[in-house]
Amino acid sequence: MSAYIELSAQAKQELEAAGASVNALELEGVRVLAWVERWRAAPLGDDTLNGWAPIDATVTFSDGMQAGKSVRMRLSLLLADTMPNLESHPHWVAFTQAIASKFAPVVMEIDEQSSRLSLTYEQLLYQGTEPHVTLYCEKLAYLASVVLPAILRIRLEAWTLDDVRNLAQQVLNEALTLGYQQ
Amino acid sequence: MNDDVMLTQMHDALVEMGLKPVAALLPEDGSSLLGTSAAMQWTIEIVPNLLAELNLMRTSDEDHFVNLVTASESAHDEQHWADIDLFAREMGKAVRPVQLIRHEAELACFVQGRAKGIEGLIGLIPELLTMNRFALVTLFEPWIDLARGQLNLETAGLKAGAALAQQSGGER
Repeated sequence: MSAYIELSAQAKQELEAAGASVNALELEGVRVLAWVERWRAAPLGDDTLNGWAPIDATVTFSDGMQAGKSVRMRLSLLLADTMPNLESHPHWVAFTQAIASKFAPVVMEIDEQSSRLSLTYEQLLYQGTEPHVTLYCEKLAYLASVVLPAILRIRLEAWTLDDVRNLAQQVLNEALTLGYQQ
Repeated sequence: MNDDVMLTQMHDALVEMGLKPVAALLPEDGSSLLGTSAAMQWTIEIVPNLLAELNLMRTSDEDHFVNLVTASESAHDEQHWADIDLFAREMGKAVRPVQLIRHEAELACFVQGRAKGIEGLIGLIPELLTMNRFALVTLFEPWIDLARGQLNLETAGLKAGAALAQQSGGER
């Protein structure tokens, strides 16, 4: 059995044990799991986040270069609309620049057309390594819980650049304390 | 496995791969590694005269991950930052899971893998190296040229596109 199929079976089991409703798809050489319900009720309980909770989550497994030995895992939370032209907003640029490299391999992206924010965790897994998808989902959900209020403040024009830098530093300190970096 | 034994095995494997590793503890940054609050880092030669950093850390769930970073301090001109970030965002999709990351003036190629046990970690290294080299020969050079003002966004994109076309189906 290809390593990615075995891993995706493990991931499905893990997610279902955590109470998620999981749909599995197999595309050409790629196994895709998608779930929604668990993360709609995810730890984004802050009132300011109403309507901002993750609306979709997918995990994708595909063979790495050493087929059978390593697997590429891509875990993505797709979040609700943000605001037009956020990608180039100077406060957003300053905020993401301050934290992005510290949270690698997480990628924060905003779709130009839909203005939707996605957070993606992408890495290689060696054979026999458990996927631990719920753990990585929690890491992304934590980051979402930080990023979404920041976007809200940018949208409300409630921030100065100093506020942005201060919040970024707070985020990094807290993430370090909680062990959420990496 | 004893941490010292694990580190020795990793080091020996890097030597066997011809990577000329030089080991050092990373400055304490709160990342947990090998029972300490610091992480282990090897400077390795991924191609002749080109150095990269291989970082080994322990995850909160007792797996380990390694990441490989090749970096250059070449983005000193802030005027180019918007184009540099746009290039990373758009062209970077072609080399995932390798990421192009700019932090201030530093431009980096970053790739990460996770494994349980030293055999898995060692097994991941060749793949991380190959992916990193692919990104270096296709995107990193035009990205740096863009940062230095030697190419504009369009010509950097064209150069990267041509390199990707040339390399696809080859090394990767």
